[in-house]
Amino acid sequence: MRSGDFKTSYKEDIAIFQTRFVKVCIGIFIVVLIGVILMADNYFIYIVNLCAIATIGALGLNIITGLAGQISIGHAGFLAIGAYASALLLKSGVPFLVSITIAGFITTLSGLIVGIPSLRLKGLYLAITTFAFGFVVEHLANIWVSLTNGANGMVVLPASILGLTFDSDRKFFFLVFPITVSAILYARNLVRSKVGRAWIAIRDRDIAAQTMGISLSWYKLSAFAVSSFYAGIAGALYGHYMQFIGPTHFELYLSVQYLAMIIIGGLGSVLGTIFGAVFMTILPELLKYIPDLFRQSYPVIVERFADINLVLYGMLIMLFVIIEPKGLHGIWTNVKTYWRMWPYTH
Amino acid sequence: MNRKVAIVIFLVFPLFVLGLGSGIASAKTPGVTGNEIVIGSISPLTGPIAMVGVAIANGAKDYFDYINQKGGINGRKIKFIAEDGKYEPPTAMASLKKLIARDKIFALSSTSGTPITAALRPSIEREKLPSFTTIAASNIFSPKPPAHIFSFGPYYSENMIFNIEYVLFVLKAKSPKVALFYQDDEFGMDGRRGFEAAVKKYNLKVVAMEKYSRGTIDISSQVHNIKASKPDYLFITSIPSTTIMLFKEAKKVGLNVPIIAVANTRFEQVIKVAGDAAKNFYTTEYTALPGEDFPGMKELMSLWTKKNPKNSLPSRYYIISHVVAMVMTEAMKRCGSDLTRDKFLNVIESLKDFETGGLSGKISYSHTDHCPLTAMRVVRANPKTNRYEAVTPWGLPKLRVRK
Repeated sequence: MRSGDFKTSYKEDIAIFQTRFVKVCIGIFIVVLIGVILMADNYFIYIVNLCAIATIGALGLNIITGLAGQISIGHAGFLAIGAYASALLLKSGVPFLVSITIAGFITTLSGLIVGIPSLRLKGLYLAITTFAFGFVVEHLANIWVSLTNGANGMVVLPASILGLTFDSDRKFFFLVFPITVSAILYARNLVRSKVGRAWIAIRDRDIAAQTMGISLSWYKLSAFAVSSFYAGIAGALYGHYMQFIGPTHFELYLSVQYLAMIIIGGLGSVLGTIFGAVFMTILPELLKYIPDLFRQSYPVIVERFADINLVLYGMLIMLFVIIEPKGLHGIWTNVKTYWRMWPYTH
Repeated sequence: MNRKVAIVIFLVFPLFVLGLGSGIASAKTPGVTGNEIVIGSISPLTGPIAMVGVAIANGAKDYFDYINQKGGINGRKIKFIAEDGKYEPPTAMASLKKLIARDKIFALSSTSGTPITAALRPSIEREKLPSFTTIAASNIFSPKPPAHIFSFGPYYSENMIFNIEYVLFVLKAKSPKVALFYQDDEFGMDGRRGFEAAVKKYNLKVVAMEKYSRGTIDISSQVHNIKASKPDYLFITSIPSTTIMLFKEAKKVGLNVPIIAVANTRFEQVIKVAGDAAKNFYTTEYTALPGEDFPGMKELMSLWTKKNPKNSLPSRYYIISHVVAMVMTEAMKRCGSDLTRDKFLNVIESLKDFETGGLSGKISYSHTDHCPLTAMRVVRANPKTNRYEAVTPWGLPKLRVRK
């Protein structure tokens, strides 16, 4: 029986996949997932695709808020910029892969602009700035009618690479899945790199980080840049998947949802972010089944307490923050250590 | 390392190709079996506007239950499935995917509001899913309607023109000074288009045009400006909660002119909350009022009273959803026993002068008009009874803005 991981070099300690067992598990997971996707119906694949897109977006927010400690309540704004940019570029004849990349960089640029005040602002003040940014973008999407078609929203072309159009749920999965996997790997890589360590140092104590020689302005801006690039890609994918975007898709609610994802998943953890994104995407769908269970036997309850799932939703988030502040990632680690030592757990 | 990567790619790549190539096409009409037709509905059953969404779901459900009791449609019973769309595009989209993939619906009786309908539109078109929406939104249905989405009733611009013509020709106002209060989005802009068209045609004097943004909780400056401009009539395109705010604010500053709204705010609750402030309140309405003496309304009220407390009234969305269910039932009946989506769409498009038993004006669809203009009336709020009373006969606006 394995009693622990014994590492003999620093390289082993920072490896993305710590053991062969992990590699095999991930391999099996990917093959099973693809197998399930081949057999599942569109509803299931839709939820999986939304989870994948949410993962990319949440990774972005986790970089800026979870790793670098710069709170952002304007994440929906970045998603919107990415979505609109890529949609407009694809419409004007730019190939999909180019359009989504440019959209990512346009969002990066906007992230840098928002990031500049962050060099002077901290905590609540930065939260308010990013909060306002979210509103500015939403308002622009509403009033810049010549570009965004205003409140009516705009039709977005589906993604296509070399004549292959990703217009069905199943096809889109095979587009979004490799992108999500690369986004996760890149984020994992960043966390263990010099940049990642610098971000964590800034998050824990920026003055201490500065005394150690970490350039605050450079690393804060780079966190904003990487974070908004992720958000831009997620927004662009969302637009090409839904084939329709409008200002109502990117309201404050979305930013809050993304914040909830990384808080529930576990701040600063890549695995936790994936858990959080999946959990928050699936939860509303699962909660829909609860009233259905009672619909046959107690129709009155369903009508009187139709909002019961909203109450549950709020309560779950509260319970998480109170009982397990480390989020789903914390629970995962606890369960893992429990079973590793089983039956000699203490 | 490179070998490992090669092995991984070698294993995963065929799965990708398989995935991209797969896709099962079925010739059978989904949702139609020997004894059943499955109809879905997406409306906000939870959240801030759940009241509207629940009325939409129940309006159709009660009517379909009633049809089932009478023996169904050509021997088939209707199975009605209401999904919660929450007024959020991704959630509504999930509901649509679930209805299509899991419940295998034949048609959709509601797609909830305008932004949601616009977001669901590409998927509905791809699926060729016959769908209805309960909102007559000009930006969805003009200039060219979506091939598979239907509604009925006048656009907000036509509501507005009808209101102005009411002031001019029924109240016989001599060159009145008019003001407009509208929501700063596509909904409000449609009202404004009608207002501007009528003002131009009848040569009216506009003294104020004030707008507010959706979700605002303070409209005092707009009301002050309107008051200062001394209008004779105030026309509004606003959502119910803002309309209530407007009454209270108008009472505060002493703005004592008739306020005339478009149909979307005709809720009994608006009068109830606003109280006496609503005594000068008029709206257009293109469905019958609850409890009126029409055969269709008697039928509707008998369904309503079976399930709801005494003295409660069905809201306008219950009535609209009931009418939509009537249209769908009639079209499915006319399709005969060989019910397919294409046939169903063709039958709806060929529906002419469909009688709804007085619940609305006659409804006629065509290939180019999926949201036909129907007759409407101006109704006036009565704060004593908390109800609305019709003040004009059914009619159409004289000035037409549709092409």
